[in-house]
Amino acid sequence: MGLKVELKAGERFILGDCLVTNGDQRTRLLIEGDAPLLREKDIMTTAQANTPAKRIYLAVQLMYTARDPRLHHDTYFILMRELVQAVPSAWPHIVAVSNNILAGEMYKALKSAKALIAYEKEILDHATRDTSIRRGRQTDRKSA
Amino acid sequence: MSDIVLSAGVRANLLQLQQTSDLITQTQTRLATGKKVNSALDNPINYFTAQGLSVRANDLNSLLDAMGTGIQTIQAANNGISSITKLVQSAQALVSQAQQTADTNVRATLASQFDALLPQMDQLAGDSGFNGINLLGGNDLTITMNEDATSQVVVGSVNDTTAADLAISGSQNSWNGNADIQVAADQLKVTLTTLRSQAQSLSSNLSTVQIRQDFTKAMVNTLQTGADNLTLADSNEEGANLLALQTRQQLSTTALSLASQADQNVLRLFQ
Repeated sequence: MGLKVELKAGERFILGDCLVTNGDQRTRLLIEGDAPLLREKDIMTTAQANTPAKRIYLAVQLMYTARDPRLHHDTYFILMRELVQAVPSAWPHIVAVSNNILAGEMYKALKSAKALIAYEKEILDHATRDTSIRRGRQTDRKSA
Repeated sequence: MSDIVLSAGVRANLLQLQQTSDLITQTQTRLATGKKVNSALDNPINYFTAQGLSVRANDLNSLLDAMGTGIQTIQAANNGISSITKLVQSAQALVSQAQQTADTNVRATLASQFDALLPQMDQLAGDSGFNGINLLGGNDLTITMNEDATSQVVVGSVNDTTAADLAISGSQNSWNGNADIQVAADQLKVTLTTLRSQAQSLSSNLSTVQIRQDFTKAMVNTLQTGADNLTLADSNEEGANLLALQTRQQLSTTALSLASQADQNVLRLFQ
C-alpha cells in the first residue's frame, strides 16, 4: 500500500535524495517503496532549530534522510544527554524517540521528537511566565 | 460538620497551611536522605518512571549480550566462508595444473588430490557454528533488537556442503579426458560466485547488527544516568535549566557540527 501525498501549489517535499517541488496547481501523488519522505511542514532547518528539543528533531531528521544514519548517532546522543541532564522529566519522550530509532522506524521517531518539542514548549512557557503564578503551583490539592 | 462554613479566604489560608506543613516534612526527609524523590508517594510519576528506566536499562543490557553472540555467530560463518573459498581456490589450482599436462598418471594424482579436498570443505562448513548455531549448516539466526521483540534481524542460513550449495562433484574418470577436467573447472567457478554473494549478505547483516549494538550501548548508558536524574526532577528548575542549555548550545560545537551535517545532507536543498 503506497502513501498518498496531497500537495498545494508550490509545496515542496523531500523524497529520498531529491527535493520535489509541486507546480502551480494542486497535485495528488501516490508513492510506493521505502525512501525517506518528508513534507515541507515537517522539515526543520538548521536556522529554525534553536532549542534543545528542536535540535534533537533536526538530528533525527538527518538520520532519517541520510544514507548512513550512524554519522548522526554521536550528535544525537550528545544532544540527548544534555537535554536529559537539564530536563529529566522529558525522559518518557526521549525514550520513545530512541526506541523508534532502535526499531529502525525513523518516521515514527520524528513523530515522537515532535511530541518532545511540544513538551519542551510547555516547560519553557512555564519558565518564562511570571514567577508569582509559579509560586502557587506546588500542589494542586483540593481544599479539606 | 455542616454548621462550620469556611469563607473563601479562610479556605485559602488553610490550604496554604497544609501545603506549608507538607513542604516542611518533605524538606526534612530530603535533608535526611539527600534525594528529592524518596518513595513512590513523593512524586509517583517520576518514581515509577525512574524505576522503569532502570528496568529498561537491564532489559537492553541482556539484549546487548544476545547481539554480541549474534555478531560472533555471523563472524564464525564469515570465517568459514573465507576458509572454504581458499580451499576452492586450491582446487582450482589443481584443475589448472591438470589442464596443463597430458600425462594421465599426473592427471590421476591431481584428481585424487582434488577429491581429498572436497570432504575438507564439508568439514569446514560443519565446524563454522558458534553457540550451537551454524549459519553454513542450515541454522537461521534471529537477533532481537528491542525489548518487546518488535524489531528483529533474521540472518538466513545456507548449506555450504559440496553436495548442496557449493555444488562440486568428485572427479570424473580420474580426469582422463579434457572434458572431465572442464566439468570441475566450471563447477568451481560457480561455487566461487556463490561463496562471494553469501559473504556479501553476511557482511551486510553484520553491519546492521553492529549499528544497532552501538546505538543500544549508548542508550543503556543514558538510561542509567536518566534514571538517577529523574528522581531529582523539579519543573521550575527544569525550566531554568532548559533556558540555560538553550543559550549554551548556541555557542557549542554541537550546533556547528549539526549545521555542517545538514549541509552534507539532502536537507541543504531546502535552505
